[in-house]
Amino acid sequence: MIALFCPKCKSQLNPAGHDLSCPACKRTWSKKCGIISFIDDSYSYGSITKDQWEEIFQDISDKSNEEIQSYFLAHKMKGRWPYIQSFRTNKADGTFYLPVTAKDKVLDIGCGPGSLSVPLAKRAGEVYAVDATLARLRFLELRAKNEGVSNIRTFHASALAMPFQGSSFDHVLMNGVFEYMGEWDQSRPPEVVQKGVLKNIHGLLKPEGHLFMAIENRYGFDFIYRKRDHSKLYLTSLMPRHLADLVTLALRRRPYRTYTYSYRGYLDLFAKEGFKDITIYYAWPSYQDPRFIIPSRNRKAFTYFLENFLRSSDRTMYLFYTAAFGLGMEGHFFSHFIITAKKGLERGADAP
Amino acid sequence: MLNEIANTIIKSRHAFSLSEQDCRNLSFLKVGGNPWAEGRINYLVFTEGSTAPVLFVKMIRERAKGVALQREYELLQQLASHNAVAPFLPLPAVLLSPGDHPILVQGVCRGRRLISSLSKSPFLFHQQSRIARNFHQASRFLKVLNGNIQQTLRIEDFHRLFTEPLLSFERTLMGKNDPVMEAYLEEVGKQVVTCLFLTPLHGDYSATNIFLEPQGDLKIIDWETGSSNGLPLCDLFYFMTKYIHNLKILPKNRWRRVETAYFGKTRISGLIEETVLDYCTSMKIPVHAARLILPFHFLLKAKTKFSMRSREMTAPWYSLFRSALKHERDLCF
Repeated sequence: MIALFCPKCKSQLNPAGHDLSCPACKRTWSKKCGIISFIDDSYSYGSITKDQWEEIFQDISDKSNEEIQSYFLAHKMKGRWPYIQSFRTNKADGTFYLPVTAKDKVLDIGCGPGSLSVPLAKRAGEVYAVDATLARLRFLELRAKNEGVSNIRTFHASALAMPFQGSSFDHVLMNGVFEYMGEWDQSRPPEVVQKGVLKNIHGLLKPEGHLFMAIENRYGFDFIYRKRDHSKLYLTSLMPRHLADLVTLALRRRPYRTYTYSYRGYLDLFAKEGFKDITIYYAWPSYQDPRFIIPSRNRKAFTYFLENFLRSSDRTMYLFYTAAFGLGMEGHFFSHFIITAKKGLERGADAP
Repeated sequence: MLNEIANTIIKSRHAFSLSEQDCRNLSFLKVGGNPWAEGRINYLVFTEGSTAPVLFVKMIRERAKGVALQREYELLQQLASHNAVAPFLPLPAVLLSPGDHPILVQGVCRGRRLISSLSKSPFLFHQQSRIARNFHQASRFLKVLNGNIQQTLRIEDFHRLFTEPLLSFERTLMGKNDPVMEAYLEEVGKQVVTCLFLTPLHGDYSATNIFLEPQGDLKIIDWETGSSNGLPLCDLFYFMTKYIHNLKILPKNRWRRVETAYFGKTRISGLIEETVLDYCTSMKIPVHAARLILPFHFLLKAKTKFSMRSREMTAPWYSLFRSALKHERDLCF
């Protein structure tokens, strides 16, 4: 277990019974439902309410994972699908592109119900799972226990104020989380918040440690004609940011803060924050269900994917990507990315 | 993980006829697989200069479950020792173990999958000849496999391999054993041992796992659910059932369509009859054995689905089994 630090004043925390206390700012961080908590429990991601969760936990706490799946299938409540699908471990298939070893420490930011944490824990030394929704962490702990996984440490914390300091992790994962960072700090522009998160991750990674991110392409073909952006509106990711802001303010009464970037945008963003060996993979049909993962650097693999798989499954996409490929622009329009990057030099540091 | 796999492939490159230069920059395209923890994950491996993949890598997500790959590898080796069967297999096949995580590295099939020949026309009329052709292709390999590798089936083998696991499955599914089921299995056993034999079983013989190579050869992949102790006709029935289920024709209720194909008088029923009779004639199997095996095969599939997934996947197969017993007289062959 690595040392924990106060998210407020950054001092190392001391154990105080079941809780943790900060010797500098005298704060005490207590456990909620057995999980150490650094934020209040008011936030809950997803459509299942806190009251519903209490009922659910009463019903599933002594059930096996298969019974939990059956439970969610039988109880037709809004927002249940992510928990059913979290047992489909192919969501973590992108992590096989990382060199994870049995000694590694992995930080999963926004771990949700454990779609990545649980499979990773079976390959890594320790997984530190952070989420801002307590119920999701409780769900993760339950399913991990059922699978006999004991090397996951859960933390109820915000991604913007995590209880970690220094180069502690071999891998940091962000699966469908980075785009929401702007919503967690309304006082600064979203891209500034996102850059801050990347900088923090860079600091938390050990030398040569890896960042793994799964995220949408701002200009992805899906978002041009058939899927909504994170704003829950069509086409907003394609608009200039200030226009998207006006549209979401007008139609959803909230500013546009869920920024995604283009292929080139991610490369620049990562490079500016000190990452190297940035590799983008295309995930098809989505990073949540990556049945195909295509290395963007190998264009022959992309052609093979087009001709042998996409052609027979989705004719419209096939024609579009074939045209984009002909112009050398497939990366600019592929909808879902998995990005891996290695920790490079600190920003501003000189190369040896 | 993939860097370890790449290093292991480089070390064993001679087994795959790859040069050092070929191995300089291997890249991995993840293709398909299945989404469950104990499920497999597949990669096509590209070398720097290749326009097509050079290798196919298969692994089980969880290292501890890798024993399934070992079984598949052993079955492939056993089948490859038969000269008539070897050309249908994705060879070479080598079992490697980067970081103690077993992987199966195989030759790549260069043709197209039989599944890609499924038409999207909702009218059976437009597809009939294609279905007949594909049924014929599927049966072609099975005749070679089942014709070349046969073992005598004794009643005690039948009970050990089929009756006991099926009764145990029924106990788990229903909470108790139905005497009717016990009597049924006893009867099937008695009749089957007189006219059938044990033969290798693919276990997932569907159009997605059959490649049609450019020269017209067939390659059969995905032997992970295979077994050396199967019954003839089971793979053929599975192929036809899945094929009919996957067609994009009317009626839209796919399981209902399967039922009417086997126990009705549709155009597909005619194709099924033709295929089964042709297979039985070639293999010198009496048609009544095929009539006996069809419901039995549905029951076996229900058991397999139950052990792999859940009750939901089991239900349609179990219902086909019940229906097959009920409509035995209406069977199309």
